[in-house]
Amino acid sequence: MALAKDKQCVEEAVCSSQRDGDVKEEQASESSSRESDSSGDLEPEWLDDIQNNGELFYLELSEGEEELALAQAAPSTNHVHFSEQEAEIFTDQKKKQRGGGSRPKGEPTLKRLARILRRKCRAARRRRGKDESAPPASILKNQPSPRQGVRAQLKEVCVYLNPKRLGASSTLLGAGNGLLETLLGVVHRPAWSRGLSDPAEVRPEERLRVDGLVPNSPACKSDQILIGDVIVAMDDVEVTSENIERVLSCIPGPTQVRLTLETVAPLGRSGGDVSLCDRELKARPPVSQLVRLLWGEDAAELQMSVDHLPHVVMFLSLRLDSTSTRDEEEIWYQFPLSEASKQLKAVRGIFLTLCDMLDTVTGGHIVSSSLLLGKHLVHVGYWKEGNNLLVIGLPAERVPLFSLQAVVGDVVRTLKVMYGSLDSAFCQKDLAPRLDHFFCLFFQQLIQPTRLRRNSSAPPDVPGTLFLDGLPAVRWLTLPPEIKVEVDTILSDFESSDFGEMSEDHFGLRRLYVILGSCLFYKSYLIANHLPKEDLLDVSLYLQHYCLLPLTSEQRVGQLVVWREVFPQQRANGSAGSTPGYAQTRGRHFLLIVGLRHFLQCVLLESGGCASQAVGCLGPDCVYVDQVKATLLQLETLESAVEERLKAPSTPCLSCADWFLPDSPSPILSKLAGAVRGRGLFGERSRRSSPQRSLSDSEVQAEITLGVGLANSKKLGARRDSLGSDGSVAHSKTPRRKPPNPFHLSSPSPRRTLTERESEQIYQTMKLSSGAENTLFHYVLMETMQGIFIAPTHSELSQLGGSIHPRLVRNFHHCCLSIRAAFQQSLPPTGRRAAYQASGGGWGLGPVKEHGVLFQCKPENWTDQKKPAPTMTYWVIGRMLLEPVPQEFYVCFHDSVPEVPVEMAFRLSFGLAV
Amino acid sequence: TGSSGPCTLVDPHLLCLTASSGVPLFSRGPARPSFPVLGSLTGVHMFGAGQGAELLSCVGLGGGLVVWRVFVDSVMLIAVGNREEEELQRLLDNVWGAMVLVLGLDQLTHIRNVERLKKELRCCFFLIDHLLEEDQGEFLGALTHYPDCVVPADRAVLQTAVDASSRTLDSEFCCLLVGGRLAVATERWWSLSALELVLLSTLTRISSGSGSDRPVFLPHSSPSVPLRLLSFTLLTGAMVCALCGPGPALQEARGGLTLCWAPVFQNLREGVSQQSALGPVSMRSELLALVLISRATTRSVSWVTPHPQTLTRRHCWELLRYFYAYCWTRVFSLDLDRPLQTYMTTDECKSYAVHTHTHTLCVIAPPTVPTPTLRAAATHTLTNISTALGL
Repeated sequence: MALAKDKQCVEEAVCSSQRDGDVKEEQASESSSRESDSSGDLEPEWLDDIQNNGELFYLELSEGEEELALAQAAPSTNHVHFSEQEAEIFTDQKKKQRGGGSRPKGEPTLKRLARILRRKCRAARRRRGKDESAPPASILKNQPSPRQGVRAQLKEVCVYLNPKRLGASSTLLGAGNGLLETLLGVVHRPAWSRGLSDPAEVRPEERLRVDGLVPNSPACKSDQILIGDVIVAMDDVEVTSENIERVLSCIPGPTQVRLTLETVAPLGRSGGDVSLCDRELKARPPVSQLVRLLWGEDAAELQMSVDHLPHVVMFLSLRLDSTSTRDEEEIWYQFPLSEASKQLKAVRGIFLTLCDMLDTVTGGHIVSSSLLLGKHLVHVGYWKEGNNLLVIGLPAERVPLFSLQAVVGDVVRTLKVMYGSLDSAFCQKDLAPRLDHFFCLFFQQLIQPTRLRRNSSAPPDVPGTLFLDGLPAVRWLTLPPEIKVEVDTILSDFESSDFGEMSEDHFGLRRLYVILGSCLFYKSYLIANHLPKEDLLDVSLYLQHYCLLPLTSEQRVGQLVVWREVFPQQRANGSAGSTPGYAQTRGRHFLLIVGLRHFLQCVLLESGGCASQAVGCLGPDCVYVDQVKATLLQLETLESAVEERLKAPSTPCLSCADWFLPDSPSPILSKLAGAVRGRGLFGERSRRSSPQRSLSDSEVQAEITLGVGLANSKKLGARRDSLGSDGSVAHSKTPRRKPPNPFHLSSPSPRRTLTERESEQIYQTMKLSSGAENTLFHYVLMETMQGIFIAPTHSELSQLGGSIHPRLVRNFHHCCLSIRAAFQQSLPPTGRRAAYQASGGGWGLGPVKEHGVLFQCKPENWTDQKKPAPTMTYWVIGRMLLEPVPQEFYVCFHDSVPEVPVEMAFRLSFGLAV
Repeated sequence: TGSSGPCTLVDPHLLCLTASSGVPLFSRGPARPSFPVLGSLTGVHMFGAGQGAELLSCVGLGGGLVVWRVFVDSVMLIAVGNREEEELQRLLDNVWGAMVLVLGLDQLTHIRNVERLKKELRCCFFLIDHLLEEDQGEFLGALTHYPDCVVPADRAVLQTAVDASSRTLDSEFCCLLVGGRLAVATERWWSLSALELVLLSTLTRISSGSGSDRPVFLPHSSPSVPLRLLSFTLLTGAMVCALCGPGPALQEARGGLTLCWAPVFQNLREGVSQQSALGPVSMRSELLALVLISRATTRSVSWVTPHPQTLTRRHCWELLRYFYAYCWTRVFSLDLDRPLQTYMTTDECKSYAVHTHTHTLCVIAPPTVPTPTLRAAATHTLTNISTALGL
């Protein structure tokens, strides 16, 4: 990728545009002054480099400081900062750094000296530096000197402009901005406003240089206008900063204009060939809808595409205040503003009344209600807090009623983590644009998850998302112990806050933040966690909501920096009383998330308490950001090992459902199935002159089980033993089916590459099911105390392939949702009314320990009229374990060997320690 | 109720109002809601209907549920209870059926005089109250909508007697109830809808006296033209009933019936004394309770034996009812792949269900029985009963 695209985007898209003027200056000076106060001389040296020609270039090598490659200004306020830097450029850069490691060590000292002299004017410079650090870092950093190696090119970009929209947007942008900013979305900072005195730099500034892009604007959406480009002409009319406003004002209505831009491209890779450059631009895979949505683009279009389905979120006040002059005063917040949601808004009286009344009718406050809106069934979830009520309406076809409560609970917790309380989230008017973005993401993920994924070929596993996201746990990836130790060591090193020369201690200052802990994700899997469970869940809810985990697993993230104040629920709720003699400190908490390629590290910081008291709005501290980046760079050396683990054969071994279908239409499958049938690997079957495998009637299979059950003693243990011995006999007979080898997925004979012995070993050590044949299809094991769960990885699933297997997994998740709902519902009520308990209500069957469903599946669209479709039966079982550690275990296996889920869970959880 | 404390209606409770004006017609159930509660329950639904949003149900924490439904645009029924939504919906079906059964559809569709309707509705309270209390009883028909049946040992003999009674009474609809469960009936009786079968059985079961003659409307087959439901107690626990036109008179019918049943009196006595609804079929020792539904023959049989140590008879019935309702509403409604069997282990019991194209079987066993054994027991029982009893 020749041109690295660097897009700044802001989580709170609209607010950002307000930042442009005075606000930004204020914040910049505030944060810089704070930095100079607290970190003194430890201020990263690259801040000075930014001033150098307005471009960032910094090279200093000392022990373990490769993170300098990432030395790019972090955003100064609470913004998500994305860039899509191509990784190769990074490595190039690193190599260069290593190569040029002879740079004299003394230079930083000199710089420091120089900086002390310059300190007075630094605030202003830094501000300017930040403005200009926006150009793609990967381009600029590659240049030993700013101009050399950069050559100008002309390119043409078509942009759709609509002056009619101006009315709406100008109110957001505030007065004083020209049409260039409001209509086109290009931020141009004239030379005089920068306070530059250098006449050499003034001249080019008369040209219309793109200094920034307004999120959501036509220029931003076009993808082709880059910061640093110069607008030369519009529809072949030459434009400068002088005449641009006039030219733009001539546009009468919605139209497309052709912009001619002068752009810069790096030399050396393509030799500056324009056509090649263009081709590479086109060849670049389209940015996924998800990323665009995170950037704040496309929100309107995406929202339009779901407008036909009724959905709404409202925050209503239960207090009637007759003195208020506001219209619709009881509505604090509402999203979206579509027709269907207006209809739901119109009946908000129902929600308010039900919320008020249901307590007296059923003895429990309201959880949900269902209503029929036209032909759409809508489920409405409620959350009452104080005098306010949060109402979320979702189409029933997307979210089943029994998972609605969990969905609402999660969104409420996310909001509380982000804003402290629902009141503070909804009752501040200026947060509305951010909430719009928040709920746009929320509804998009629930209503049309396909649009957000890049590879939308497979039907989305909606129940899977609902089930796995609803678990109070994070997906965990077990690593080989030696790698795990290394990862943990690196994380611990970081968490010790021993930043050497960079740390506050070095200067005898009080620390800015205490690192409470951090957790590390690789490709959406949690690989290390040093956070308490509740904090981990808070963090993961945030990640989940912003789809950051799928983002890092789908595409390499050039750089991701998230910084915001958070309100960890466990800490905020004051659980201090639980441990005698220990009181939680009442500090402020900040979440720092840094993503680099497939790694994502989340750090929870605390100010106050041991660290210094935080005052005002705090931006990210460069030192901490850099340290996380350094940690991630350090971890990259382990990437290959982690990747290897991901690609390794699944542990425990999984079978593909298709292998068990007799007489499948596919020749390979039928051969496999034939092999299964011919061998008679199922102990019971071979012992008895067994019925045909193709017999799918459950009764026949039950007969078999019955036989086993009766032949062996009725005692469970004895039966198990006999099965076990059965299995071991079969083992020695060399089962022919091997675990699929992932490394030769595309080769014609995928399961033939491992030697017999090797595969035998793998087979025996990692098989979860009893009996000779591996009958395990899928599993989910949740460690309740640690807040983690394990399940087969995505790559394991894709290795299995199969045509009915994905559907089986979907059904598994669907069923698990229902099983888990039963578990939850049957739990003895905590903190509920005595009256309710006395009435014996709730769950008549008592607490559920284990619940299983036997399913029959057959291939979809079976066309053969002569033969009935082949069928296969499999179990989905959920088990709630309280001893020795609380766990929830969900498993799916073929219905040929009776399994004991408790045992399976034990075998699976063995050695699973965080 | 009132200000003394919130009144919580967790047991099924029923409110009936006119749909257009919201006038309360009646309210049945253990606790009567205060008028403000009743008013707001009605009001929210009516308001929503006016705005094009029909309120269907509402769930509170702890599983309390409110269900609204409007029948023939004239009567609104609201049920409050701590059940699955489908259960409450079925309750509403039954209650509406009972109202039609007693009053006829016309009177409920065109309400001319609300006060008069209120008075007339009192006639169906006994039936509605019985439906509300049903979940303490030993009958599952109102829940399953498959009439509770009993399979007598000598079915053929009794069938002949029923057919003879049908000729005597000049009615194609005639049946014999043993212990409140349908034992044998004429072909046409089985052709009635499930709701009608269940309601007629219930009505006969709770009507007292040696013989009765009451006008009934059939909710589906004859909602506007009343028929006569004649029922006679042949001996304690055995009743015969028939749907007749204008004739014959009660006394006349009684005479005819005596002639029909006198020859088979001994068989009838044996049938009544039979302990189990399953007749000759012996149960496996692991099982405590079962219900078998045969969709092809639209019958259900259920059977319970108390566990000596832990489970009382009544509790077994409760567990059976809960488990059936759970399977019906949550498990067998899963539709991605076809669910065949399910089991659930709780502290109190183990339960297992088998669901085929033709049958549904739910069994309850003590928690000591291993699950694989339970599976064998369930499937074995299913084949056993269905072949032995021809269900």
